[in-house]
Parts: sequence; C-alpha cells; structure tokens
Amino acid sequence: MLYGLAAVAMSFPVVLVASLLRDGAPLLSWHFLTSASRPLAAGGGVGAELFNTLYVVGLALAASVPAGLLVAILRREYGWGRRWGPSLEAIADFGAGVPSVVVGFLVFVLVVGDLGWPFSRGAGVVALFLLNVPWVAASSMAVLASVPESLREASLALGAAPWDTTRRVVLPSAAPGLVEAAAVGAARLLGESAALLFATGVNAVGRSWSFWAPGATLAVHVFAVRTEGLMPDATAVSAASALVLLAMVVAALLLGRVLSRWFMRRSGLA
Amino acid sequence: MKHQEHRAAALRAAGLAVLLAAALAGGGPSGVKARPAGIRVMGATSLAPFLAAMATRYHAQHPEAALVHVAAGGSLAGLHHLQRGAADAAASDIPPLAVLGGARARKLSGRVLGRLPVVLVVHRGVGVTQVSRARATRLLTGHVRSWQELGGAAENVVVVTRALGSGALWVVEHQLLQGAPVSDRAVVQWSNGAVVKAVAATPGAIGFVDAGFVRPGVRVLGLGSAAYQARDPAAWPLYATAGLYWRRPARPALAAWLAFLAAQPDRARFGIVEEGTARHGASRSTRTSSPSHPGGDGGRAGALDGGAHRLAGGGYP
Amino acid sequence: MLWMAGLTGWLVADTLRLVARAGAAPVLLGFHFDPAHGRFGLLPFVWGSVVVGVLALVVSVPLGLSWAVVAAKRLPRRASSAMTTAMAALVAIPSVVWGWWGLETVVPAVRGALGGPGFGLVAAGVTVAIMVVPTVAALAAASLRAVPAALEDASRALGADEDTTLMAVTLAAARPGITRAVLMGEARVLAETMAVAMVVGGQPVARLQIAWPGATLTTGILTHLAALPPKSPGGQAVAAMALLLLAATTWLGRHLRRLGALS
Repeated sequence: MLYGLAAVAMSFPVVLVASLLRDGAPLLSWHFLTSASRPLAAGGGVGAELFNTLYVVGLALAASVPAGLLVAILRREYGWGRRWGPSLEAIADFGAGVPSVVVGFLVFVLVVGDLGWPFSRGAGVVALFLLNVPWVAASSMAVLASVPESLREASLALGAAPWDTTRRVVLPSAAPGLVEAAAVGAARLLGESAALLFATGVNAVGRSWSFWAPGATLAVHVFAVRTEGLMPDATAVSAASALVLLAMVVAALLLGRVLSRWFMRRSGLA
Repeated sequence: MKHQEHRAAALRAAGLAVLLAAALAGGGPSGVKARPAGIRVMGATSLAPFLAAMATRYHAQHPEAALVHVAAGGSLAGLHHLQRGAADAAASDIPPLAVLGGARARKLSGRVLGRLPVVLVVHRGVGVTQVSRARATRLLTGHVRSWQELGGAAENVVVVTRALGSGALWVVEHQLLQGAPVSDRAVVQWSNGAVVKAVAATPGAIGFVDAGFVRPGVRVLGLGSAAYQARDPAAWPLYATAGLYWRRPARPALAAWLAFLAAQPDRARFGIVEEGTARHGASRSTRTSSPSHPGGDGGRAGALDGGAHRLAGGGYP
Repeated sequence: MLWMAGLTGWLVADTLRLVARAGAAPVLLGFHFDPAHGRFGLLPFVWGSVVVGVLALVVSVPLGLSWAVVAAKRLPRRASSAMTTAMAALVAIPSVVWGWWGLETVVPAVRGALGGPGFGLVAAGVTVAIMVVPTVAALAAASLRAVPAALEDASRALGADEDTTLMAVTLAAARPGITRAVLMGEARVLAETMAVAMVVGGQPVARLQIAWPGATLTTGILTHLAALPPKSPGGQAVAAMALLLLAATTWLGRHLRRLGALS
C-alpha cells in the first residue's frame, strides 16, 4: 500500500520528464542553445530567450535577495516589527504567498500601463523582484530564527555591538541556510510565467544588453510556442526549452548546495 | 548611547541596500540608458507570432532602429491599451469602432494587414462534414445536444470557445451567431493552439480557430455552400480583418516600422491572407473613420460594418 | 515591503468601487460573470478555487506522504539523499509543462470516468494536486528525517512492528512539519495559474457539476486582466478577485507561521 502509493506519486513527474526527454532531447545541441528562434521553419533555437532568462532572473535575484535579507535582519536581529504597526512577519506571510498572477496584474496595470514601460526585461525584473522579496524575507527569518540564541548572547556579553554580532556571528552561521533559500528562490523565478506574460512580452531579440529590450524568458517561450507556435517542430521546441529550463533549475539547486557546504566548512559547522 | 549608534549603523546599511535595490529595479546600473523610444505593440494572440517574427527580423536588419516590444492578450486588450497611451500600436481583429466608440476610434489610424479566415473545426469522429449557417449557430449556442441530430455519430456535442477579448470569438459572434451567446457549458480556451488541441482530443467537440492554426487531428467543417480551401482562403466567408492601429500622428519610428512591415512579402505564411486578388493585394493605409470599413469588398464587408455600427453605442465594457 | 500595503489599498478601493456600482449581493453572490452584459458575480471563481483546493488536498496528501515516508525512512542513506535532490528538482518543473500534461492525460481520464467534456474543476484539481505532490513530499520528508532515530528505536524495542512505529511514533512526532508541508502545497494550489487555466475549461458560471467547465480566482484574473481595462467595472472586478485570492493565501500563511512556531 505504502510502496504502491509512493510509486504512483513518483511515476507522474518521472513520466512527465521522460516525455519531455522523448520530445525534446533530439533537439538539444549547442546550436539550439545559441541560435535565434525560427517562427516558421524547423531547426530554430532559444539563444535570445536563454539570455533573457539569465538577465531577468539574475537582476531580480541581485536586487531581491539583499532587500529580503535586510528585512529579515531588521525584524529578527533588531526587533523592528514590535514597534511598527502591522508586524513584518504578518506582511511576510502575506507576501510569501502572493500569487504570481496578482503580481503580473499589478505590474501590467501600474508599470506597463501607468508608467508606460515597454514589455521588456525591465518590467520582468520588477515583477520577479516583487515576487521574490517577501519570499526571501520569510525564509531568511526562518533561517535566522534557527541560529541559537546562545551564540548571540555570547557575542553581546563579550562586548560586541549588535551590528558586529549580526555580521560576524549570526550571518556566518546562518549562511548555509540563507544560500540554500536563495537557490530555491532562483528555481522558483526560473519557471515563472504567469507574472511575466504581460510584463516581458512574448518576443525576444539577440545582440542587445539593454534593460529595455523585449524580454520573453524560456518559461514564457515554452508557453507561447506550445500554444501559438507555427513552426513545424513546435512540440519539440517547447519540450527542449522546458528541458533547458529544468537543467538550469537543477544547476541552481546544486550550486546552492555546494555553496552551502562550503559555508558550513568555513564556519566549522561540518 | 551605544544603542543609538548601532541603530544609526543599521539605518545606514538599510538606506544603502534600498538604494541598491532601487537602482537595480529602477534601471540605474551603469550601462543602462534612459528608456528609449521603443515601439510597444499589443493585441491579438493570432497575430503575435507574425509580429514577434517581424520584430526579430527588423532588429536583425536595422539594429540601429527602435526595438519592437510585442505582447499578446487579445484584440480588446490591445485597443484599450492603445487608447490609454500604454501601447504605440494595437494589433486587432476587431474594428476599433466596435470597442471604443466613434469619438475615440476617429482619433486612430489603421492599416489592414489582411484577412484571418476563421474556420469551424470538429473532432475527426463526429461524422458531419458540412453544416448550414443556421445549424452551425444551433451547435455553438448549445441547442444541438448530439451529432446524431445532424445525421452524424452518436456523440454528445462539446463546444470549445475562446475567452472574452478574442478576435475570433468576436467574428463568430457577429458574423455567424448574430448576437446569440455561445453555450454557457462550452469549454473556454485561451488561445488558438489550445482550441485545436482540445478539439482534436475531445470526441464530439466543435470549435473555431484562425485558419493558420489548423493542425492535423481536427477536421475543418464546411459552412453553407462554402468549403475551406487552403489554396484559396480568400473565398471563405467567415473572416476577421486583421489591422494595426495607432494614434495620429504616427511617430517617425513607428512610421518606419510600418513601412518595413508593408514591404515584407511572407504574411500569408502566418495565416494572414491578402485582401482580394494579387492585383490589389498590397495593404492599404486607411482611416477607421472612413465610411467603408477597411474590410474591403462588397457584401461581406457589409456584415462586418453593420456589426460595428450596432455596437458603436454601447460597445464592450 | 511598502508595495504590498499599497497593493492591498488599491485592490480594496477598486473592490469598493465595484460594490458601490453593482451592489454587494450581485457581486458576492452572483452565479454569472459576464461583463459584456453587466453581470459581475464573483461566486463562480470562489467556488472554483474552493473545489480545486479541496480536491487537490484529497489527492496530494496520501501520494505526497507515502513518497515522503519511503524516501525518508525506507531507503538506504545514499538512495534517500539522491531522491531528496530529485524531489527538489521536480518541485521546479514549470507549471506550464504540467498544464500540457493535464490536457493530454487528466482531461481524457476525467472524461472517461465522469462523462462530460473532461475539461472542468475536477480535471484542474487533479492536475494541480499531482503537480504539488513533489512539494508536499519534499517538505514532509525533511520533517520525517528530523524525527530522532532514538524514538523509533524505542518503539521497535518495545515490540512494535514497522507500520505501527510509522503511524504511532514517526508520523505523530513529525505532525507539525507534515501539516506545514500540506499547507505549503495547498498555498501553491490556490496560487497556481497556468496549469489550471489549460484544463479548467474557463467557464465563469457557478454550478454544482464539478466535472464541467468552471473557473478559479487565478484563471479569472489571467483571462480578464488584459481584456477588461482598469477603472471600468470589469477591471475593478479583476481587482476584487485578486483581493479575495490574497485574503485566502494570507490566511494560509498565518496558519503556516503559527505551525512553524509550534514545531
């Protein structure tokens, strides 16, 4: 019974990945990763979309991880939430669960509509930033809470200032957990499409570093090609794009784990 | 004393991080220039593959020209966005008059890209290949329960339709159903591709799509005396007039892109059929307020125009 | 963090404007959402989200927990660790991909079992349930692994067999963590958009036949956010859907935090 249910549970995602491999693996090549997509003919690639994914997710992470961590530190180490009306934790609860389509709605109406930004990498970065900050804040708070209180007390008793305690004692011992949380955040952002459909637009251009270039990411591409693609190999292209996306997710998680181990060794926790 | 000092240090760090975040999110890192005058196009999902491909081609051939940003979302979304000033051009299969009303539509210019024939598609096993307009209406409004009533297989009818804002739905509502609503038990899909997929997989299903999206696995239904022929799509009676609309006067960057679009020969490969015969096949620039709708020739355009005027008073919400 | 306060304020203001224009009862209790004919009932979306949420709970909990138990307690150490990594990666399969899988697998299965078109709330519930199984399993496995081996050894030493030990000791000790895993999965179900949109049938009418096309709060927002302009009653209705959705996920979040504090 137990093993049967577990086998059933496991079989769904495994079969799904297998079907992606069947449809998409033959297409995977250096050419596919680097060349432009072809709207009407077979044999196109995802170069521009791959670059957009790295660009948009990279910038969104670079901005949201420090911001979320800062909120967590202010709350957990400096006790700010007690003075402010609504506690930061409640806001983080609220924010960590903000459905991505609501963020997409917000960005579409305010950033694209009222501010007049183009459908671009920039609008995509804003959407993913808003999506990720509360999530980083919530998970960082949990990680900081797991740092033993005795460590902080020892440091303060030795005369260290709160900021030094945070910087030299709390953060190093929380680093492995924080890094892993950031990696999971990156994995979440890589696969996001509902928040981006009306922020990045559905097209991409190569050879541009502009913040304002059209910004369709791989996840948006998977959706657009599968639903409206006119190329004869649309199914294969979308499956191969999904595989590339999955590989990036696995890479992000593994990188997070490796870095986390490294931090652990450095602080002598393992 | 000491306590305050630390609070000040924390505040400084906070300020710095907020600035950093704002710089990254707001477009401040070195190398990022102020927002350039890109061309923002929004509208029909059926035109998105064409527009996205043209945007890529334009950038490849004219790297110095303005970037073209394409978003789908439906014809209605494009027109509303254009009207708010949040898009520079709207790609729509619905005439602006029907959506925005006369006064606002008169401020727009438009260029007809061509026709998008809208065809009825059915599951392969329904056993019916041709229906009259009246029967097609009864099918889509949910009044025919089984294909047996039309001499077909013993399968229940499953209607597949599109969400509010779709140009194909607008065409079917105004050129075929004459105001009757699509069945409220219909499966609502988000795009042409999803409609085809759903119809191909569901026994007894009937739906409608832009002809360019028909795939093996579904059968195209003949309508009245007409049969859809891929070789002569212009003869098909049910079609949307796909247009690109903008506020007057067109900025030079937009005008340049429109000129580029007009010079591209392969629109037909994206399912966009040139108007009439090759003799006057080139796209014409026209004002939407002109008495005859850009739809073009004779009686068929009349139905489209009538629909537009009927809706001009109330319009869409 | 301020953006969230602003967002809430904006959504509340828009919702109030809609209620002022259309009346509270027709908006909150209306069975139809048809902006072209002035009907703004939100009940279809609320009903759809509730049905999908409940179905997903029923399907994902037994599957997710069995997988977690096998991964955390029944496999040798090396295999267990490899499976944990695999789970984490499977959590991140893009939801669009799950949507297509649901279209090809779940919809025909529902059509075969329950009749009707196949597309509907049942298909949506089952599709997202299976989508969140790795999420539930990964989180539950982590909390199962945290149960001290000494507890289980004590149980076995007292003569309890493996199954009794599992039910009476391991699961009981890990209960807060498991509840947390289930609620996290449920939060993802309620927030899921793309996978649901492809199989739910999208019909904004509230009806008891849950095998037939319906809509949820998320798909209602997705299909209408661009088509209905802001400041129109339709746009305000989309804001009201977003507000209801936020209220639901925040409520779940509260419970999550309380559980986190307990464990």
